[in-house]
Amino acid sequence: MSLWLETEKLKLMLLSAYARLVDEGQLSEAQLDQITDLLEDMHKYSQEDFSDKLREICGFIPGEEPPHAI
Amino acid sequence: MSMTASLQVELPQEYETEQLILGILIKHPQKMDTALDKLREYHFINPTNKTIFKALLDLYTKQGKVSYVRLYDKLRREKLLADPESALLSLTESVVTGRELEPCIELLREGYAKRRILKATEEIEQMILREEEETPEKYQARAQELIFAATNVENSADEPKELLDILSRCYTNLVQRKDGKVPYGLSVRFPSIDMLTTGFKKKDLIILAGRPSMGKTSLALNFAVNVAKRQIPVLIFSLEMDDEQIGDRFVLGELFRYRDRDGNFLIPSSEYATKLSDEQLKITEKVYSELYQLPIQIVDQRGLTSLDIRAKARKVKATCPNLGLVVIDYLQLIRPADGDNKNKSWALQVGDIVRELRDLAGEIDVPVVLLSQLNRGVESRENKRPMMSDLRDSGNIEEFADVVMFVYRDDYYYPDQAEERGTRGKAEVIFAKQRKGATGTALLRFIPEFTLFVDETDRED
Repeated sequence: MSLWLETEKLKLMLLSAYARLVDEGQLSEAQLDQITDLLEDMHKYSQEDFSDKLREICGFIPGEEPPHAI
Repeated sequence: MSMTASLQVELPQEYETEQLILGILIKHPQKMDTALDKLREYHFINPTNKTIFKALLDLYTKQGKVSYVRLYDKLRREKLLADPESALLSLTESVVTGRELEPCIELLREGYAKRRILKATEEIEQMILREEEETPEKYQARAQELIFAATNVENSADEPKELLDILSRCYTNLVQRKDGKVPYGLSVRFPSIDMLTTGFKKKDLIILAGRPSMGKTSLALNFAVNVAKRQIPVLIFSLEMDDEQIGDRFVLGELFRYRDRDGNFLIPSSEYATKLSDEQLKITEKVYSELYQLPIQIVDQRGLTSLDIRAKARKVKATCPNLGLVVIDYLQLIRPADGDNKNKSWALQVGDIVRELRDLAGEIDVPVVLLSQLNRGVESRENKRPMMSDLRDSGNIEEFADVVMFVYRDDYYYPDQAEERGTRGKAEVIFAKQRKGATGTALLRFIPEFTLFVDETDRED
């Protein structure tokens, strides 16, 4: 599988994971919109900037504990 | 298998092909225009793939770009699929190179064509088992119609059409007309008639009616030659004149152009019909060599039914997809189909024939010019110009026709007063009905020796 496809697959899985959080009520549709836009422009960010943006939008990133769970 | 089930049949490798196409389109959005041109939602058989394709088209037309992320977002937000993630992830497993798109599209289109044929064969089987028709001829005609429709894959008239597609075509036509590039319909190269009709439209049934000797056949044959001279194929059904008589008329019409310095005809029609000099023979041979090139096919069989005409026209259309015009000479010589006419009046039978021929025009997507006699009522009036009511005893002609035109020559009725009335050699083509245009009268000049109409420049509205 090409690098492009691997990346798209990863983005898709990430978006799907955040969509499940929306279904569970942990994120809003507006936040998911922002994440969708961010994933679309993923190539524009460094890994650190991407993580910061993600944290900025929803307050946590996968692997980190959601704030309300602390 | 039920009749609707045939269109759901999945043929070998179709699922994989559909997935490949979707994968290619997501990775290479620049190929979307190729897909838009050749691929329709109904070409997909798998419901999930069909939904993804529809969403893809929608994204592309509204946002101009597509991606897995956007597609997922749309499918999820609009609840188009229960599990968009799995559906899209399976696409990423496909091997995708842009070059594979067109062969894959062809495979899907072939599959769709096969399913249409399968559906037609099932309908034919059902029709026979249910004994829906009355005569073997009707079974044959209906079977041919179904197979023709199924094999004419480009003509997907039974599929719903998107308004966007329709308006795009209208806009393209509008711009072309504005630029004077193409006429709206088929030009018959009589400017005054083209001006009134803006060309004969595809799928239209055009009635060309008149009393005997007005020149209906001549005018229709003039149309045919003018169209065929642009290498647009024409099919003529002649139920009265035989093929050689028509051939001679074509030749005569062309001989009109050959004159000496004083304007005298080099080959008067009387001489063409008797004996030609060597010089005249050379000119005639030149005309023959020009006419040989014309794509005109003639069926000169008497006693044809409307079903026969439809069947023959379908066959010609199948071998000659760019068929541009069909001429049928004339309505009252078409034999009613056997079977269900025992209790029908003549007017109703004629109505059935006209309806059949209107359907033919739609089916083969070609304008059909149907010649028709008028009843004698015209003769008893002082003003002998035909009117719509003169058609009323002949079934529902005026109801089914898209265009009704009458040929009228005043000097035929009043030869002694022609000079005084200024009507010598003049012919009026009266447009009494045009579903898509204005009514009015085109003025032509009739040259009886050459059975030829030529255009007059002025026009009466």
